[in-house]
Amino acid sequence: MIKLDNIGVTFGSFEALKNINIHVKEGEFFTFLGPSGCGKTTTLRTITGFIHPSCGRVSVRGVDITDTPIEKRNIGMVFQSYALFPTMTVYENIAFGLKVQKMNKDEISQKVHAMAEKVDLSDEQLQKKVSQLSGGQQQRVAIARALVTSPEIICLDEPLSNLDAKLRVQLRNELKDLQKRFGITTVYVTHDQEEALTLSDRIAVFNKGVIEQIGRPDEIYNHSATEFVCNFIGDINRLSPEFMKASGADKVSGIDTGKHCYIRLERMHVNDAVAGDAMTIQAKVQNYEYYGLYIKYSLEVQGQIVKVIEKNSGKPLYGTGETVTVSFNPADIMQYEG
Amino acid sequence: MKTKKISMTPQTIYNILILVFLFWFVMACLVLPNINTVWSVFFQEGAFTTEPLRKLLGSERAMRSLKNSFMLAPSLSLTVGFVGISLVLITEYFDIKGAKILRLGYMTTLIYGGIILVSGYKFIYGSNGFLTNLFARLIPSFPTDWFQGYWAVLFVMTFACTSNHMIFLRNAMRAVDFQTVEAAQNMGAGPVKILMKVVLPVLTPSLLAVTILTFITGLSATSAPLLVGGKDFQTITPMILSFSKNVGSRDLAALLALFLGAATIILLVIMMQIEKRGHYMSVSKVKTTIVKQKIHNPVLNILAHAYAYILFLIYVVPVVLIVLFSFTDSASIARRQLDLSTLTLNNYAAVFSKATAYKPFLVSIVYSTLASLAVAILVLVACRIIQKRRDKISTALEYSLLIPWLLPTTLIAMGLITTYNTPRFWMFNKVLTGTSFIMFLGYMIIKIPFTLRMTKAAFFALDDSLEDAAKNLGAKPLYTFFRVLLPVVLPTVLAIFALNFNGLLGDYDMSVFMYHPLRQPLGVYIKSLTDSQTNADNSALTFVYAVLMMIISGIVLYLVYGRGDNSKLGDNK
Amino acid sequence: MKKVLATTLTVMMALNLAACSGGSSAPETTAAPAATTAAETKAAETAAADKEAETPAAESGDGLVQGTGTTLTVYTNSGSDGRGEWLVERAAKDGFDIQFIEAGGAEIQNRLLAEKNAPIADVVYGLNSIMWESLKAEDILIPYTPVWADEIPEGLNDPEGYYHAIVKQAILLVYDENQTAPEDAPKDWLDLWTNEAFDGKYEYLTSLSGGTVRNVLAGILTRYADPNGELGVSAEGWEQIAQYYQHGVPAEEGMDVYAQISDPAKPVICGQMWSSGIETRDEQYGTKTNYVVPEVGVPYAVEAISIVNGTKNEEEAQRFVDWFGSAQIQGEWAQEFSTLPANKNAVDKANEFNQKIATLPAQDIDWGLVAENIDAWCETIELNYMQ
Repeated sequence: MIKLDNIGVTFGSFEALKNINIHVKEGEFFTFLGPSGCGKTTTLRTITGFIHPSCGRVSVRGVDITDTPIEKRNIGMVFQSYALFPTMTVYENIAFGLKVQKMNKDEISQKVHAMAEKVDLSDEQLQKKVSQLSGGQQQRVAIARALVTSPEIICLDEPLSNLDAKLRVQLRNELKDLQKRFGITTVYVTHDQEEALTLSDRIAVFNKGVIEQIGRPDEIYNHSATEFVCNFIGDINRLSPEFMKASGADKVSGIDTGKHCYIRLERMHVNDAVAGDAMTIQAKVQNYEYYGLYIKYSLEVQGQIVKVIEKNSGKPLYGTGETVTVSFNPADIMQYEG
Repeated sequence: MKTKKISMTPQTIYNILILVFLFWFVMACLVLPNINTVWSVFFQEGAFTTEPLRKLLGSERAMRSLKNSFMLAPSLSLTVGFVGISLVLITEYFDIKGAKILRLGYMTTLIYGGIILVSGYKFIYGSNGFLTNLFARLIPSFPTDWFQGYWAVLFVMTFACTSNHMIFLRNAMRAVDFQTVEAAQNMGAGPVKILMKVVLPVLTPSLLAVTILTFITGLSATSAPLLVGGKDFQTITPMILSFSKNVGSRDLAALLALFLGAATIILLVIMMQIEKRGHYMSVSKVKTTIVKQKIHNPVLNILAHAYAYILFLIYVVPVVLIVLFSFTDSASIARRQLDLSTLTLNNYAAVFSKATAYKPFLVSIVYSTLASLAVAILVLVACRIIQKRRDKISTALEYSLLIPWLLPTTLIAMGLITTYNTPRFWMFNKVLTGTSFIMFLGYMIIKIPFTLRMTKAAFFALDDSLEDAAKNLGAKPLYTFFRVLLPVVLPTVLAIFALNFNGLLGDYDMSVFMYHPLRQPLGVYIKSLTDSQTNADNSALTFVYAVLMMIISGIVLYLVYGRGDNSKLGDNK
Repeated sequence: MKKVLATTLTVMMALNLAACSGGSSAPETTAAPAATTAAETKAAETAAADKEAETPAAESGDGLVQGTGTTLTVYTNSGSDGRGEWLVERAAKDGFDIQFIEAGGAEIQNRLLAEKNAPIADVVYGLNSIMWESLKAEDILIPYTPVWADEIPEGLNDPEGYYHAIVKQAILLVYDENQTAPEDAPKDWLDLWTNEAFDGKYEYLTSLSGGTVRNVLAGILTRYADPNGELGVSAEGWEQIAQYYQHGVPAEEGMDVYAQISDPAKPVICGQMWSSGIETRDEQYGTKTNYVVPEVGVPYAVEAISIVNGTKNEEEAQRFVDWFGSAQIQGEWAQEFSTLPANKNAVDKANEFNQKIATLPAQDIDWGLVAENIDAWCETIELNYMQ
């Protein structure tokens, strides 16, 4: 559907994007993930046309749109700030794109109302000023506005940032739900890995203007292609050579202690070895955080702090100073060249 | 790195036309008419000269006045900043009883100024003023001429120059996201800390912009030093004005004005650098408007209320006195004695009994409206280019548009008349001198820098993504500008319009050289009434006209600004 | 021929209207030959326009020069207090269509200079000799000898014929007899700073663009003319100026000198005033004005009238000048606005106060020196002498 071929963008002497190659499939929820300044928004803006790439081509369904003006691309966009027009009502905001197309009034009204219904905006809300809406309602207006012109693609630029945690989760669910309902090809930009993992069909992880990895959420999480990706996606323990030696993991074939070794928090177990946990090591509980759903232990092993997440099975908690046995499967260790 | 298209779309042609027009305007209206004036400072009789500079450096009075101006400007920036922020906090941030009335009082500076305003203050603090008399009765040795010199000037101007704060800073305050305040409260910050660390930083861009204006006002202070400066605190602008009217001394006027202009430009450059570093924009999506903050400490609360109402009195009493004195005669005004029994309608009868009296009002209203409108449009277009291009052309444009700040009004007027009293290529071989058009042009030119300064601030406060969003939805640039961006900055543009209108309504300095015989503007008319030669001193009429102008200004402000204050315009920022 | 005769007669009647107010038209004095010539020439020139002129002449019947109705633009610094409106109305009665621009003397002068290449004004009146000289030097005026030129006392008209006097104004040092006894008043301007009694008791203007203040300065400085001195004035003269500003009180912006003089609480007891402004101020402030008559005499500001170089209506402008300066109109003007006419034949129309002013000895001032240097003098004073 969307193809980015060897896209490069330079601002003055600064190379913002290098060699970006992405192919987003029809109906896919595709996420650009990365820390700020990594190039993910820049890439999105080359798709919408706000930025003209210094090299490379952008095409949609095989049609090269690199030089197509923004207003002719028909790619919907939801902005980080929503960019709702403050002087207009909700209705006028949604109708804006249709008006620009010089559609007749009845048709506009019909389309706007139909769209409003899909995103759960009442007629009464349509007549309100956008500033009178709550965050969730504003997001829905922004999405409705982007979708009402029936674009083939919708781009969302961190639409959930700067919202409080609860609203964020709620809106995330709404978003996913909407995307499913419309079945529209979606490009989503975020720096939040949890958002990326929960929403996406596929994720491209950006760092310093290049793509580190493209893959399904589980691929990215379980088989991070680079040290950057494994660090960026979720919490992780870096295992010191002493730890590797003491646990005997250094002897396992395929493990190279010359490389940096990592293991995810939930892949280690406290006093509860599961099948395949070939390695064990003694550790001392430093403290723990109780989350209800799970408990996060900080353990001291060989002079290093290792964090472990243990599902809340109702067992008594291990107190500070207690000695415990940590077990893990060496196959879960991810290694990267230092 | 916006889309670059080489092909000649209608849009590109349109853009080129606008640039050509602006280039023409800058050259024909700002550069050419003034270049001779500036040239004459350095080159006389065909040779480079330092004579004007030597004359000024040799003049103790000029140097002292210059020093005073440069002393007044920074101190005024501080005091006006303090009072201006207080006003905004009182009316918009703290829960002060009667805030609406207070606000009206604080806004009185928007409808009057200059000599009239200072006269109002002298009625209270001057040698025969009410307060002075009171003090003199309480303390027999009280010096009745206490209200004179630097402190008096600073005092009057501190309260006279808060107009911009009441408009622009207050707008910014209303745009503060209240959630940030709540968040800070939630994190345990005290009220002072919230104010200093959360609220004021958001106001910084507006505060900087209005502070520049205050600084410039301080540099070019005229009425206050003339009336209350006394012998020891005269400033440079009266001298510039006086020199600019003397044909032989125009080089001195231009040179002095260039001093001030250079200082202004340096300040502006610094400002622009600060602006480039970026500004604090609210990133919040769900802004909530400010909820007035209660002051919980009862002592502080009482103090705050007292402060607010004392300020109110300082602002309102001069206006009330001017209105009252407009019903008395010149002798009472001179002696500052208000005897309620002598109030008379004679002055008003004298003004309205003349069949021709309304005409200057009409002329000035039409000219001011047209000029304010034209300058608003011109500057909007220019701002758009400055904001979009951010290249050498736009920088050149921005600085060129500030040229009128470099020279006194009189010299700009003379420059225009002398340049276009013969057919010139740059004006399509049309002679402008003597036409009705030239005064409109002059009015427009002198209002460009202020308009540019404030409009630009409004544009830069715009969320860039609004424009992107409109484009993304398929809107063409023009459509985007008129339907999306303009409505957002409109409240500011209208406020600027009102200020320009009010400023031009009574203009004398420019009008006197440019007005068409059949179209005498208000400023000239008033001056001719009061600058009498055979009739008696007509200073009472000055007050009558001041009151009438206050009424017009008030109506204009209400129409374009006040009305929207609590309704739809208020939500926009 | 009949028409020519009629016009000539009209002009002659206008010339000789001496004591007669209004209707009477019996010529008593003989018109000067020069004036007659001028009138004849003019009559020939305007023969074509006479038709229009005749009708109003018949109606008003006071024998004045009649206008043709061509619109004239008149610049003046002497149009306030209803003078402009009065002029427009009065002139209309005699067939003139006048529109005027009214501003301060310096502004009028600057406007004329700036409009040099595209003059808007046809006629200018009210300025003083200092300004006329500078305008003349800039080639902004054209010479024209009005029919009434001979009725003006010697020395008031421009010998080269560019401008001719209409109103005389004495520039006086005034005080209020209610506050100051004549014997305690200064005897001359120089007394103000040489006599300690007046230290801090007189007002000086801080703005030097006005005509009056420039006359005061000229009156002081020309006493010390010295071709070798700075700007034609001896060091002693400049010392006097320095003293003048050192011992005086600066005028308060927007406040009349009478507000100072009349108020016993204010230290100021005297200041400069033009003669025709005195009476109304006395009325308004309840003062009883007396003025200082120095031994050298008082400076007279002479308001004159001239035609602007480049006018497209030169003939009508000449007719207007002839009309306005005539004893008849100047007499009416004097009665209406209590001025002191320069026209000998109109002086008796002036009121008693102005009659007395007319008898004051005139100070002998070298106007050439003044015209040449006044701008530079003012600049120097502002830079170096004013406090």
